[in-house]
Amino acid sequence: MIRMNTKTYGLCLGLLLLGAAAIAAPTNKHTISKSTSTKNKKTALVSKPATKAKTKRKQGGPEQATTIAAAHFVQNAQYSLTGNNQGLVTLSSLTTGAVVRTFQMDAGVQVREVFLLDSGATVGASQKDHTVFWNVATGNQLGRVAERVYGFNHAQTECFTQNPTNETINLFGYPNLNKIGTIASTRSFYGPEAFLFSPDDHYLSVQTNSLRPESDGDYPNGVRYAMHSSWSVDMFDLQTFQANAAFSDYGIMGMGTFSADSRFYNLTGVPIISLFLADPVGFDQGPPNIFQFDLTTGLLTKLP
Amino acid sequence: MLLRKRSVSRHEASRVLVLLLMATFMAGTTVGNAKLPPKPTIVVPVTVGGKGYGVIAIQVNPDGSITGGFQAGGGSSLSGMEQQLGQQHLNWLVVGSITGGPSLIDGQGSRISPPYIDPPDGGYGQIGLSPPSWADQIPWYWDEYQRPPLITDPELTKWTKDGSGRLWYGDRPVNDPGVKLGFDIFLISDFGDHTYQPIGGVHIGGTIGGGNTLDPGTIVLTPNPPFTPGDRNLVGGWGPSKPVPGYPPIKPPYTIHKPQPKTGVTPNGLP
Repeated sequence: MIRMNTKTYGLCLGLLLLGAAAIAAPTNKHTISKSTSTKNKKTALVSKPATKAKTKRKQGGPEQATTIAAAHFVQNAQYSLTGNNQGLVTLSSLTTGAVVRTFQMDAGVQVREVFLLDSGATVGASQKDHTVFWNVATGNQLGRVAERVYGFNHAQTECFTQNPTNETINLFGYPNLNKIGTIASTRSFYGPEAFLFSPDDHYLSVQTNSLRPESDGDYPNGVRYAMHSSWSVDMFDLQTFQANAAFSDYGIMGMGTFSADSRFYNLTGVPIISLFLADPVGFDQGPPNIFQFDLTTGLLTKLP
Repeated sequence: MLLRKRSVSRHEASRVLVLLLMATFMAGTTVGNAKLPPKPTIVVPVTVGGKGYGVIAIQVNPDGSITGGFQAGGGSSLSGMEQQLGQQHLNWLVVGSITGGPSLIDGQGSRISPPYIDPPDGGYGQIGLSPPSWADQIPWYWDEYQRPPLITDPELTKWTKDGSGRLWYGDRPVNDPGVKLGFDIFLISDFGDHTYQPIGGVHIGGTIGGGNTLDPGTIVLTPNPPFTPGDRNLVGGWGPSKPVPGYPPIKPPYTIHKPQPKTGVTPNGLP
């Protein structure tokens, strides 16, 4: 094994570029599937409040992705909500510490995600194959989705699930819980591992990994023994119902953060396979590279 | 700097370049007074019959994931390269070894003895609480057909970018801390007639760290591991034993490619 200095790197980089190939323009290979019934016809199961309380939003900096491993706990200014491996969902007061209400899902089954909705008036929780919503005041069940809901947009008007049989995500409206549409991934799409909605809810980035969806015994950290795994990050346009093919073609293999205006997706120290292959010696050996993906043009720019 | 398109010289790599790039790069970089952790990286030229066709580049990331792939040289597409070599397509062959940890189980529930093909025939069975993971019955790394009822593209087409000449590689093995892993990753020419030829490769060795993924500080990368008779037996012994209802006929065992003079296309330099 040879330890190389900067000068040697430069020499090798120059020589390598003689034999390296160009990064071709991305292809436009993607498939789109959109439900024909984009309008919600059912009566809303949950009354929509005038204002929405945002949960787990960080102030003063870009919002970080939600990781599946931490999705069984959430809190807002008033409540904390947790789910356990016995199917029990517990809502507690942050001010008193007292249990406000408990909700029982399928007994003995791991609760995967919990949601505080409608300023704390509604609670949702998912297990491996379904999601249930309850009214906090009455304890009554308000609705059910026959899929595992992974997360909600900021406006709490949409949530998404993953269809494990055809590599798509499904979008559902909230609070009516009607299916809005389906978006196909451009890569092998396994179980979501992390996700992030853009501040304006136009885009959804999802990192998927063949280590997920995991069994109840492997939750929350993912499949424990896997000698062969694959993963990728997709960028979904929730208005056009398309996966961003240009984004996928770069081979971006880690989560980033959205700019405040939802125009850029910023990547720091994230493996980008296409750029690495074009410049494997010089690409990623220095300080963490910072790249900015323009969501409107599909261009990736290296920031100084 | 916009990076969507990049103009690159079409000159082929020189012999000196080949020798230089056989080296393994494993160095830290100083930023201010801070020493960044090294990111193990290796670049291996792929030459067939003395002609350079591109490079295999692999890196091990701080999270223990392995990313990289093959990049065709000289602005060549993969299909152009395949035509020159008389092959049908590229894929990877990964021969794994493991010391410690739970026993590996293949898709049929049989215990796997290292060295083994990663992923094994039919994928991995349940290990501990971890559920099975499916794989096709072709011995190459990326699946070339999909498990019903999936009807979209198989892995190979999704991780191949013909126009840009790339075949990607990615893996993130997970196991118990202290388990030692080794992977011989071979770039494979598949000639479409159940014959194949390894044309380059990388060995990755390392130990699982506290995060249950490869500890980058333990990684050893070496170019062009030998393709041994044992490796050949692993591939060639891939028998037609477990049919999948409604799916393409199981392919017969693979054998090392031997060019046929009557084909009119003789892969340059292949045995």
